[in-house]
Amino acid sequence: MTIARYILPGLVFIIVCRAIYKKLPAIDLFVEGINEAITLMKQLFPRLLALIFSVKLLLYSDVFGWIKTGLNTITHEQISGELWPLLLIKPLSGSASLAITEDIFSRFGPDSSLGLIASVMQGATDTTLYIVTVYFGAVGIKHVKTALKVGLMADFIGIMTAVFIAKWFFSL
Amino acid sequence: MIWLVFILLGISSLLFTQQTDVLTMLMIESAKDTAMLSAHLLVLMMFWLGFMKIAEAGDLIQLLTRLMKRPLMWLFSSVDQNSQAFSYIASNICFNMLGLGNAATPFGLKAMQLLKGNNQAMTTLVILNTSGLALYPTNLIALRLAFDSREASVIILPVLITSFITTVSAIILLRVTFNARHKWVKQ
Repeated sequence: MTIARYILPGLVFIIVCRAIYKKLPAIDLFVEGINEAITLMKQLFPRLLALIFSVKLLLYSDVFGWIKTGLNTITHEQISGELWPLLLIKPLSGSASLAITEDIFSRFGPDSSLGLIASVMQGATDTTLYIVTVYFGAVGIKHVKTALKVGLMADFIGIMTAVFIAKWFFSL
Repeated sequence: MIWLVFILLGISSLLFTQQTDVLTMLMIESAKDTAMLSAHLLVLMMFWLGFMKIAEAGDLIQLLTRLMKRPLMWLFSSVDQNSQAFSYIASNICFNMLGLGNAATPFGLKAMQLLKGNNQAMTTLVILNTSGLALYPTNLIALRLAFDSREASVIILPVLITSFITTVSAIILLRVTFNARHKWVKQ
């Protein structure tokens, strides 16, 4: 889809044209926006560092490996063992889940049944923990419980739906 | 709380497997990653919030907000109707639907700042972002193409169905949670 590539530049074009037409003090407004961005970032950085450190520590340790083995024995591999890591890591880390998807693509191919299911999973939900941290971090609010709870529940629903929809849609 | 559990699990596993020397390495690495990510995010925020300010002064944002007013007012019923937050929320949702998550984040953060104190509205916005309703998964299709997929775009429809179901159920869950708490407080 080539239209997508034109959206952002097109938007800037429209904004600039409008600013010239209305004779706006564009630089002053632009600088005002930049200052706001810097203020936001100041509040965000410490929280982001705390989150990234904890996720890195967790991913480095082999906790997910143990969970995977445990789940495989419980579910009798109804959901293929290759998909469990993606399912568990998806809400935690965007880059880690991307790496797993790439791994599945390179080993089984993007058009294999595993590749298709992984694609739908990857596309259907976002990195909940990261988004919750960034968004609430920007306002320095600690009461993230509801958002996190609902977000993770929605992730669970999303991932299960992804598996079922993918199996049904591609009749795997 | 969750953060402490993560650290505890990670640390105990490091102790258990006697890899005590990787801790410093992980610290340095996470600081590096955070700096990279923050730099990226800061650049995006500076430029998009800058352009947004100009667009706002040119009445362009108001146009977009008016178009999306009805669904937004239903979702964010607790926000004052004339609040500036609506324009940022509208921009955030628009960019997200186009699959341009990076451009969407600055507006979402700005909206959060304006919604401060209104827990229900803040949570709704975050949930809309985490459930990831995208009309066109740009990055995913690029990834599939990179691995020589013959039909890279076959996943559009199932992804759309799934993210729609996820978003709807997230909104329902949210409503139920907040309603339950409301009743509980009343009693």
